[in-house]
Amino acid sequence: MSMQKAVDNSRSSNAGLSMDNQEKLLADALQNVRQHAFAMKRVLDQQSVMEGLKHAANMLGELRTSLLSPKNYYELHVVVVEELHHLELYLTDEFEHGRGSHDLYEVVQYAGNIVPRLYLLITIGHVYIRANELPRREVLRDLVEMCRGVQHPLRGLFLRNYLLQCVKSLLPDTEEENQEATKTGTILDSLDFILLNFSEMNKLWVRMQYQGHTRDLQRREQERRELRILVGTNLVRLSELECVNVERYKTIVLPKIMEQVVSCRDSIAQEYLMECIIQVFPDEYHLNTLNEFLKACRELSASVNIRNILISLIDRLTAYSTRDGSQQNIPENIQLFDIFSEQIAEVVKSRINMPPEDIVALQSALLNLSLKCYRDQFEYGNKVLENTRKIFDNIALDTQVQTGTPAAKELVKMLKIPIDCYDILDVLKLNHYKLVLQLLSYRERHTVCMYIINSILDKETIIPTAEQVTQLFELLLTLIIDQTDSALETSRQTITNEDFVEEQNLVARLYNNFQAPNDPDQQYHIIKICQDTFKNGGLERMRFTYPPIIMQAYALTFRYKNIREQDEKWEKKCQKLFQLCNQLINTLTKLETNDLPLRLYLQGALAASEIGSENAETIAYEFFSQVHDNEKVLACLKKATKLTTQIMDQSVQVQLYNELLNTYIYFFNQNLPDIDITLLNSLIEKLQNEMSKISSNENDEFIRNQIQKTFDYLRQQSQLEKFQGLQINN
Amino acid sequence: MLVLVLGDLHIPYRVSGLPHEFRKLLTPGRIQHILCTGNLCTKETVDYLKTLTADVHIVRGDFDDNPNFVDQKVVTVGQFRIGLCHGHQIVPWGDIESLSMLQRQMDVDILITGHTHKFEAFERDNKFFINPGSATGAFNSLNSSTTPSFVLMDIQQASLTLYVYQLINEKFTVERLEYRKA
Repeated sequence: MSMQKAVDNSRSSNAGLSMDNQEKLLADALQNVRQHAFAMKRVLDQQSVMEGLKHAANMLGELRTSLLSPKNYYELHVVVVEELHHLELYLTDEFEHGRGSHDLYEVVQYAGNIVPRLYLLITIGHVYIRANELPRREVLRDLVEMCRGVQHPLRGLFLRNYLLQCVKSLLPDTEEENQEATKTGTILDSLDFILLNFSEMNKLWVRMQYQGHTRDLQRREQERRELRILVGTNLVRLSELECVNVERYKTIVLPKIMEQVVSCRDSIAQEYLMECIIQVFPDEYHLNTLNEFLKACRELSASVNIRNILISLIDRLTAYSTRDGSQQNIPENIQLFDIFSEQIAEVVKSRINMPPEDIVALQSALLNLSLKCYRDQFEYGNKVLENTRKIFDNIALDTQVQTGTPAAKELVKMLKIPIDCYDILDVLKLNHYKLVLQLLSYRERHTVCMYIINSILDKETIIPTAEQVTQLFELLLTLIIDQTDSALETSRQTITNEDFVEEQNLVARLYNNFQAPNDPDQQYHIIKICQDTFKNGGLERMRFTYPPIIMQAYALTFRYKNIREQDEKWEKKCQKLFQLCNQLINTLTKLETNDLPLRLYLQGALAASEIGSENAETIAYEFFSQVHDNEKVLACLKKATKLTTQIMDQSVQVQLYNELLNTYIYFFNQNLPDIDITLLNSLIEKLQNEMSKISSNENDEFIRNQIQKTFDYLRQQSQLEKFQGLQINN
Repeated sequence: MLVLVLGDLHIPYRVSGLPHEFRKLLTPGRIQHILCTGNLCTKETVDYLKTLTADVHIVRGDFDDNPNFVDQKVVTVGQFRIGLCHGHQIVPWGDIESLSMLQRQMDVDILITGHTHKFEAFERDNKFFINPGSATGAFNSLNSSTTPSFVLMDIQQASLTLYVYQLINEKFTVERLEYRKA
């Protein structure tokens, strides 16, 4: 059989690419491969090397096809390589037993077609190097150059990939030549090898873009993406070489890679390879080559998505800087914030069509960097927030970012970063935070506010001063008062709207975290501020926000009482608190629905009596406080009674009368002046009248029993002198 | 059979939520029943309890938003009839005699009440009285300070083991009591 050299010049594009056709083509090719491989193995068993090579060449001929899609070509390639491995093992074995043929490397150069020829050369070259038949350095150079003979992108890529895999363990990774064998090469030779292989592979890969009809462009680009790992493997191999250090990376490796990346002007390649570089090489390398890398970024093709590349790099270095919990990993002279901040500004300036959401995403990455790497220096975070606001002001001053847009989404993500990194007290130090929050429309502001409150509650953060409460309210205004840009939403602010209820309950829960545990006066300030703020929210919000204020005010009177020895104004303060509560509860009574105001009054009465009753220090104090407190108690009770008369539901009303009566009895027993028998009698009479009106179902049965018990108790007590004049009939 | 007994949470009117030490303990799938003395006060808390177990019994407290809770309930677990009532209706509040009367009237072996925000567990006339206190340590006009507490009952036929969980000065403590039905 004659073997002739031939140059592969089949640049014709793929034909007949329908799905069924592909399946059949692949199946046929695989069958041929298996047949040739079988024949090859059989003759090798009989020690016929030359025959073996012929069959191998035939098998490799299947890889000459132009008809398979990349995915299918890959499948074919895998099987061929597997079978080729048998040849490799056979030859290696022969050499180990001293039976190796010495001229195979020459012989295969006469193989008819270039694709089989090169695969055989690589395989045999690999074996010969390991067997010390040929000098490593020469052969490697030879092979990487000869592969230029295959210029068809798909075939070329897989061929060079095979080359790279084969020589994996052969690449010299030493500073100096190995003394025992000659011409083994050094790390520099490996770098040359891989960088050349990489360059050539990238060129082939880029060429695929232009192969074929424009209508198939999308499919081709997808196919290219499927193959990208073939090119990327070169970079991975570079990163695995031990003798590559920062210096070599900076002076040899990176510049060569960049040269290829920038000059190819292909956006798919540029996007992938820049990303690959970031992921594959260690962070120390990136730190030392930031300027070079960023310069290359600026030279990338206009359609490259530079946003993701930069964010990838920033995030990676941010993670590196805070690894192991320390912030020490970045050397002093590398000011990451300045470098990236400048870089982002450049990029934004040069790409005038960059959509706003991309700009925000870049700012977010920078914000993340600021908060993590410069934890206690709030000016960095503030700067980013300020710049973000400026960007939008430049686009359109005082205009909100439209709801639901990608820009709005990115802004929300950005605003969540400080909330996640810090606790709210530190977030409040970022005074430009609200500038960015104001950019958003109602829905997004709402989302961010809810997120803030939930974060505070989850972290159980206490907000201890009135000033901080005020600052926090500036951020949460969207939930606290009606918003002009939620015109549609206002009608849904009722207790029947679950979302509204959930939201206001959250605000109420938050209120309980406003605590100044060692400073009652500060607590009082907080209460005042909250009242001033919440009163602008409308009655429907006050329903939720007032009760916690009132309860906290009552609790505060107890605190004042506890420090009465240090604070001579304690009683005046308590009085002010009760007045405040009175005012607040009054407002709540305008909501007709429930008995909450009534309950709050009763609580007030209790608190007032508790505060007053134990205060027996001096007579003047006692008298003074008793009078005030008793007035308070009576006022509360009177209010409570009045409210009860307005209750619609009979059973509820009767029950309340019973509870009221018991409360009056309690205070009567406490010898509260102004609560006398006549008062009790009138209430008893009222109760007896109302009792007859209620039904006899199970729950009301319970109420009856309770009332009965009250009457029983009273009858018992009526024997006592104190209760003389009590009118209680059966 | 594990029964969680708690109440007087007063979320959000007096506190922002359960202490995280308690929240960590209360995970779904470990408790069979919940008996709640009331004053939760909102639907949010009811929903939270329902995530812990399906069988939740709640009675009405004076600050509960939901007007439809009943005032008293009897639940049988093992060989115990257990009565549940918030207690603001029983005057004088927390008075032993009044509680005994309620226990007799409801004809229960165990009476559970709340309202005072003070943990109690005692035996009287061979009946057991429990007050789980306030699970959040909410403010109460009757006491100047409240310790967060709740109770877990382990009921096996006729024997009851009570675990009391409290946060005393921010320290987490557990106590154990036993009771046998006569």
